[in-house]
Amino acid sequence: MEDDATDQEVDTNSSKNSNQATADSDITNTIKTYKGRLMEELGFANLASVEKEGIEQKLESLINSRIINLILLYLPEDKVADFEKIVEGENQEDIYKFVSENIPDMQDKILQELMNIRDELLDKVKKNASQ
Amino acid sequence: MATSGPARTAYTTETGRRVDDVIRRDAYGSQAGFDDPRDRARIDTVAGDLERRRSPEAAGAVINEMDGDAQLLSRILAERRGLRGVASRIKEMRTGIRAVDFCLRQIGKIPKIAAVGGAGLAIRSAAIGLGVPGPVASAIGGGVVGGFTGWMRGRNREQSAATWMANLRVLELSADELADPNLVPTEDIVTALGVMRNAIRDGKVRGSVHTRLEMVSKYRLLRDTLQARHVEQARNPGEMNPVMQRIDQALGDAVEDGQLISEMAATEMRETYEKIIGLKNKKIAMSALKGAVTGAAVGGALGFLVNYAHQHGMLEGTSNWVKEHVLGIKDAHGGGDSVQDALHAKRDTILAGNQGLQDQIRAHDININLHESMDPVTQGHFHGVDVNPQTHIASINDPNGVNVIANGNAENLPYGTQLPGGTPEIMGHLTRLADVQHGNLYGFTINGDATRLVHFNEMLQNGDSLRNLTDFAGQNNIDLGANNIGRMLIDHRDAYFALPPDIQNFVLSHPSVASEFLSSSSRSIPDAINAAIGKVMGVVGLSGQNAQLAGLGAGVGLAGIGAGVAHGVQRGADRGIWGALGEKRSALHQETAEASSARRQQNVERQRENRNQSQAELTGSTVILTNLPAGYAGRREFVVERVDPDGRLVFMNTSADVAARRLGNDPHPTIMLNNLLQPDGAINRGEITVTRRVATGGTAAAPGAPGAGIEFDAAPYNEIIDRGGEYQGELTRVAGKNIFRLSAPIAGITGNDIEIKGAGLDNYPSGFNYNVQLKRVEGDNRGNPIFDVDIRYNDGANNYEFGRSYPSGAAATKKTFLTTLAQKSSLGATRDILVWFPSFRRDIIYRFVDHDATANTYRFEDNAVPPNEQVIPRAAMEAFEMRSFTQA
Repeated sequence: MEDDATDQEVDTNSSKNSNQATADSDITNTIKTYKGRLMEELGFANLASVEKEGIEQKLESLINSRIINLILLYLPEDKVADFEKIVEGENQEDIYKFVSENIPDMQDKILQELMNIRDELLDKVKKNASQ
Repeated sequence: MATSGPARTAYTTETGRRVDDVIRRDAYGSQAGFDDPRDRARIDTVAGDLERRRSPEAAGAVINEMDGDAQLLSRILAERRGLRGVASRIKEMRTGIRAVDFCLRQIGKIPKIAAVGGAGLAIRSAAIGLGVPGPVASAIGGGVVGGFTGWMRGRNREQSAATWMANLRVLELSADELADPNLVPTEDIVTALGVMRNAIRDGKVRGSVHTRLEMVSKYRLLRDTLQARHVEQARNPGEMNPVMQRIDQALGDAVEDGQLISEMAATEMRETYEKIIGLKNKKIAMSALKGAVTGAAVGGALGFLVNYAHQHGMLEGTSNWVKEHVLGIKDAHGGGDSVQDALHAKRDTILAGNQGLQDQIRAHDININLHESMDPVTQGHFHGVDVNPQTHIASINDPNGVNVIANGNAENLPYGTQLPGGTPEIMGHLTRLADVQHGNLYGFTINGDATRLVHFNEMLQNGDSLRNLTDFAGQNNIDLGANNIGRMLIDHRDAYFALPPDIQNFVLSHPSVASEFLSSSSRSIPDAINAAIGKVMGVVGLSGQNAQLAGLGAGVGLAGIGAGVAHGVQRGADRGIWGALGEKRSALHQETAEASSARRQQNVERQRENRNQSQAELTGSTVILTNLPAGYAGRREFVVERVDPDGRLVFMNTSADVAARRLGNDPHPTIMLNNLLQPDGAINRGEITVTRRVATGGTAAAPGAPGAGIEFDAAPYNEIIDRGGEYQGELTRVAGKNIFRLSAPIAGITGNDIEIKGAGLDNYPSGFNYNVQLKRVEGDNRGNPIFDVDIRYNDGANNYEFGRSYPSGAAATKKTFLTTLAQKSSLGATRDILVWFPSFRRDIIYRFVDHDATANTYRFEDNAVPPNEQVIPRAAMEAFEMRSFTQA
């Protein structure tokens, strides 16, 4: 996915301990593209960086909650115990691998949920502005 | 079938010109009372500016609300599935975001498709303006992945519908050509649908409403061709091949897309309609409206009607009507081209304003559109269409004898305009199609008022007949046939009511889940419905023998699920698509009777328990009645002494009440408990407001006139205060009051919530944990305690008290503060200052770590273990609003 970084973004450097820094940077790039597209559709592409970052933070929290709900909803009953063990390991790649292997069409579900978030958000903002 | 030509182009241009002419005349005409267009433009500009200024905050609030809903659902799901600990951990670990990251990276690995060279007939050029690569048999052209990547690459490029149809050559082919799989491979059709889907989702199809309505026709032609091939393929034995699976997916998408296309057209049509209705000269408005609607009816809807009829072999029957009433020709069997040409040749006659003809066109259009929105499996089987010319209600009987009613009357016409007969029908219908995607719960809610939905739900619970349900829908302008919620509730009623109430609410609030029920029942894969219900309710493998009960918690049992599935299976069998499940029907039917009985018993017990709780809450409480009985004109506020066995509420008497009674008058209204409760026994908060109960140990004097206080006994609370100590809890704000939610109850205080006050309390953000010391207590006028407290934020090691608020911007005080931080850093004396940034991260209070003089950045950390850091430049610090807290 293309990186949509713009010059106007505030250089807030979020860093964790060293063995996760690269993973976070990768996340920033791929999720950033999605957020950027959404900000574009909301008409906020040229917003002040402070405001934009505030909205993007909220978006991340929303996406996190919604995707977690997919996992909670669709995880098969006989896989719950195994899932708990995988979560204890705290390796995100293992967690995603487990989830995608045990929840059918997980990739499609995630993409669909991202589009659902986009559709719902645009619709609610539009209705909000017209009131 | 011809898509363009001089006649057609001239027609659509003419109609468009007529509308524009009218509007222009109105805007600049000499009739009295028109606004100066310059003023109007100025107002529009200001309005636009206002909208731009408030949008980021509004968007932020919307996102917060959506996140709040999602987090509530997380708690419910975690609770029901026994995943509470896991849910907390994956939330903290941001597993959701990480999953998206992994998913997107996998998508990114799909190799780019080569440029169009061998694209086949479907796509003429890869450069169609969307950046979607030319198709090869791949996932990119259609499906979820295609839709998503298409959107991601969208880049706001738009094309007119005409360009669309020119580039997608498959749209130019005749029905006969499309029917030949040697000429047009199935994969090309699937891909074309996927490309159109990308564009539709991106809103990249522009053009006149007539062109877009024509696109509806084209889109459906493709879909119908695909469906025919699907049926043909299904007749052949053998394993389902990947192309079939993609067809299945594409068909599923196409049902939804059909609605989206109609919605697009509806939106634009409504804007035109509103523009016309805004005209002050009613006579001009009538003329323009007739022209616009007739144009749409002829150019779009009627064209679609003819196409649809032709494709479904209905031309025999329909064409008589078309021939006699519209075309005035004897033979329409030449196929689409001759029909369209004849249609165009008759356009002048139609435009002349044949009112009766317009009514028939519109009624017929409603029937066709209604039918389109029904279960695709039953397409082609409808008959027995009736339209009542007075009420404009159309009803359709499907082979199962199910009556589906469409009420074509539009709602909420502006200005009370009386329009030519039948015109609101199209607008109402198109508006409802638009509402499908706009979260209005498919016609059940009006401006957020869900009264009709509640009543519909009650009717379902009471087991009302389908006839009554559809009558209700018809009277209330709800098109059940196009209504996912309505269909789901009817088709899966037992399964739905077997769900716990909070999950019921979740299903109603998340139409996508309702769609899964409905869409699964409409697929030709019998087990899909079982899997869909199973997924939502945590039941696995009902198509085995016995479903597992480890579902979403108490109240969800095999019986309820079995009844739901059985009900769906029953309907499916009646439709002739569930033959493979025939041998399971008898077993499931037996379960249905037992399940219904068990469910009814559960509902009765639940209702009784709720009623008891409601009665307990009301007894002894001060209440305010929302609605007073007819004939009673007294006060609304009472203290409930008790609830009598017959259900009447008995209120305490004031001295004035006693005096009235001595004169033989009853000063109290007759209020029955049943009238204050919901069907499930819980208090109906819309009917009665319960204020907090009288404090224990105190003297409860009945209130006099409203506003008079209840005597407050501070003694028991003073004992608590004298004990000293600090109490931990979370600060929240409810109805303008500061409420402290204790982490652990305090002996002598009922419940965990206490109202608090204190100097500067409003400076402490809600949603965080604090320590409080109780200093004094006083009572409110209802006899409840309000504690005056000292409050501190505790980070696990030290207490902090509020320092100062700094608004956004670089005021002198803030600059001084930032300089102070920098100085402290240089002295190494940091970590004793906390800062809260409400517009940056409302959920974290950061600790200041140090200042980098070279980069002029400020470093903060949160209280995670290990802590996460934030480095913020000086410029951002000046921009951010913030509050500081210093170590106490």
